[in-house]
Amino acid sequence: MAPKQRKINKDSVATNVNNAVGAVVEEATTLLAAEPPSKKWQNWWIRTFTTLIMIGIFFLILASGYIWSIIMVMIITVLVYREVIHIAYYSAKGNMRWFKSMSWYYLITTEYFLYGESIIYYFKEIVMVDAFLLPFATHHRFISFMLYVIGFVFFVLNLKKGLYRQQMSQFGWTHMAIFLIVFQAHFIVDNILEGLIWFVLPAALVVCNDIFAYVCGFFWGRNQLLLLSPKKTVEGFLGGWICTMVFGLLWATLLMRFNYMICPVKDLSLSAWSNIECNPVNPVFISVPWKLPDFWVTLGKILLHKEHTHIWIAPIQLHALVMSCFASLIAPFGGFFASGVKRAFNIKDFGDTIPGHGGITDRMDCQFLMGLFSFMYYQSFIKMHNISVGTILTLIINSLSSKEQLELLERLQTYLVNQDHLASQIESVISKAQNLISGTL
Amino acid sequence: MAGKKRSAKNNTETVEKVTLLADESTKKKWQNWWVRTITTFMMIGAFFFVLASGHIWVILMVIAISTVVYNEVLQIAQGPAKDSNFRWFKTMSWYFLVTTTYFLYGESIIYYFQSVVLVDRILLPFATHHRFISFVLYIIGFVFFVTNLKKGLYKRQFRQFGWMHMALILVVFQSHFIVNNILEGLIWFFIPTSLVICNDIFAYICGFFWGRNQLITLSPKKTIEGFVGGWICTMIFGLLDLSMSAWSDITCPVNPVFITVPWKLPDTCITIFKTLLQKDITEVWIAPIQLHTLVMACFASLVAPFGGFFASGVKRAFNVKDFGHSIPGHGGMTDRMDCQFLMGFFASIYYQSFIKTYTMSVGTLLSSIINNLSLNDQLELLERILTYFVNQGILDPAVLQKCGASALTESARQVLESGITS
Repeated sequence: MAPKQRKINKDSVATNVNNAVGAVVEEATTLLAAEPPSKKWQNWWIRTFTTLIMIGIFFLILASGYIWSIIMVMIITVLVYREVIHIAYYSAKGNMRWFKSMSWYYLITTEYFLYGESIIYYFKEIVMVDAFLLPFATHHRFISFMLYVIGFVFFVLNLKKGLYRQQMSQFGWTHMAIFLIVFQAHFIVDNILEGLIWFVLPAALVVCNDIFAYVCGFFWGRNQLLLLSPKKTVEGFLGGWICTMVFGLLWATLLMRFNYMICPVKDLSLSAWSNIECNPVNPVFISVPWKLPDFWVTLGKILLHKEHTHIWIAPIQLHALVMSCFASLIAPFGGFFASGVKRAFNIKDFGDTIPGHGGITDRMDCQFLMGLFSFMYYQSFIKMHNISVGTILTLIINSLSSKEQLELLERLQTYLVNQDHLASQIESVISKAQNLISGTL
Repeated sequence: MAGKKRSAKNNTETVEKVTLLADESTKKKWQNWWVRTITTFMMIGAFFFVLASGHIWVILMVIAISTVVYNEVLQIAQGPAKDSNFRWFKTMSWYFLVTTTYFLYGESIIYYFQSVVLVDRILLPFATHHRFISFVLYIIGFVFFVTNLKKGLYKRQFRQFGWMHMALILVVFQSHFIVNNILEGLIWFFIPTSLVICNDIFAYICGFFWGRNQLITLSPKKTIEGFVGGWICTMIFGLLDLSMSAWSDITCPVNPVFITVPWKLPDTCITIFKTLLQKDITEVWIAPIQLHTLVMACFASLVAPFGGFFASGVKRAFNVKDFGHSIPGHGGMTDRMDCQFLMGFFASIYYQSFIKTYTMSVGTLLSSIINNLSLNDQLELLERILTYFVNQGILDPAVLQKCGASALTESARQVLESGITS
């Protein structure tokens, strides 16, 4: 008993000293630009080699077809989830098997819920018609909820005396992992179903930012960016930002020319070599002429001896710039968050699957946040909802009562006036009509 | 130190000696009974008072309760007040509470009040881009969290971050579903809530008189007799409860779930009734909602209590007796509301899945028009609706002159000419 106690005291004293020292002296880390050349370049070659392999595999899978891209995202999700859950194993001394089962159960239940939602939404024509699938679709949320509740009840029943705190921690940890990994990865899959470009563009931007930030930091890195990730430098951060914006513009310009990239997924089995067409194409991909300001016109005349009064820009090129900014300035915080987690639990990497880089989580940590952002941005500013005047008119005439139709008309008028598109309102006319209708009904 | 070690050794062998209510000394038992009964009646009284005051007050009550519960729950993970970390955690938890509430209630308002929100000039962009705005707000909080990570405090800060998210998911998120229930019809709030209260009360009473066998080590005072007794009583209460379904003097298209329909009785029942009551009863009038209430009563008695057990687990994990002291005899607000969240969530999902009728409304169509049609199409639609009304004889033909394309403002004309779809 006594030796154990003494050992504990010594450890706590040591940590106190460390904290005191840490507060005064900054951790002496060698920045990449300052390292001895041989070591620096050796690490460079390993990383470059594995990077090229990963990029190669990525393109191969992309070209193989939509379904393979989706499967790739699902597999990466499961691997990252496993790595992250693994970290909490250290505390699961007595109940490792229970914790493992619980985390797998929640993963499967959540995936069932999320992918069910997507399938129902994107493949309505197939799912709603099938006699077997229809009840699963109609009551999908209820089924998913009951599955969750079953897991919840089992969790409570399995709480063991003396392990309460640990088990609660693990419960919380599992939920955070589900929330930060599984949910966000699912949005990436939804992006794919909207059009492969909404997956390839953001993912490429993050990869590009990683690479260029590394390169710029390698050559010019002097000032540390954040205490959390000591090898990252301000020069790398900014250099990465500028390079990513340039790359984003070029990459978007290239991708928008391929139907395989820009068409929403209708048939999952198609690949890059299939003949794909979609109608109508989202206006975001169509170049429109923008009138150049006079200054640029004259500059162009002088430098190039040509008269360029218009420049052809597709909105997606501008969206790509916005996405590049997010990828360089905000998505890295996903990486810093992951670094924080590693420090909190005193581990160097999440795993060692990829030589020179660490585990899969270490490479994918910024991708999740980027994917979520792309999804939100796309749904908010880009997505095209295809409804025609005819379908809405039919619905109005068939499904609404006369009173409701008049109410709709009045609301639509008010909306257009508020948006400054119409000059007058027909209040008096409408009220007369309303009286007429309520009189006859 | 030594004492702790001794009890640790004992626990693996003997079961903790807990006195069940039915076994307690009569005087102590009844004293506790009176305190709890009085506060229970006060709470029920206040509940009915708020219910009668109107939908908005009920919604405000739910929001107020969930905020109090959120605070109580977070308090457990806070350090001592003098800690430098304390103010950071409080700020962060309030920020995320406000952001999450903005997101959730925005969604509800946009969904249930589409015809008001989408038409208004200022509110429209907030409605159309609501999710993106909420996402950006969350990201701002996330970035601040990361930049505020302090050396040596990492583990604690991450723990608090996770704890806060759990509180948001289990408290704020779930109570939002309760508010949605209210907006669907006050009865979809009243039934689940009263079923949980009823189960609590009857389980207590049955356990008080007949409790012998412990139900779960997590909550040692709960008994199997109380659990089962509560279940039966709650189902009966659920069936009877429905006679007070006259909650609305507000006219609305009635959901078929409330309409009683005759059900043909099986032959054995008919013959039994003939012999017992000398009456010929071939049909029984049942409204589907009575069956739904039975299902809800089952969930309220059998599953919702696990929300309570979970809360007990949390209390044991952090060595606290109660979440707070707001209610004498009961503990904090969380101690009374812990089962309500799970029940409200269940009620919402069950309702959306099995009961809700999805009809086209002015709001849904308006939302489709405003969000999905270009200005060109909107104007075309307007012209066509006006033409329809003129043809039906409801509107004067002069209206087409006044309100159609001829009434376009200058800015609208420019928008249409430049060919950019809005």
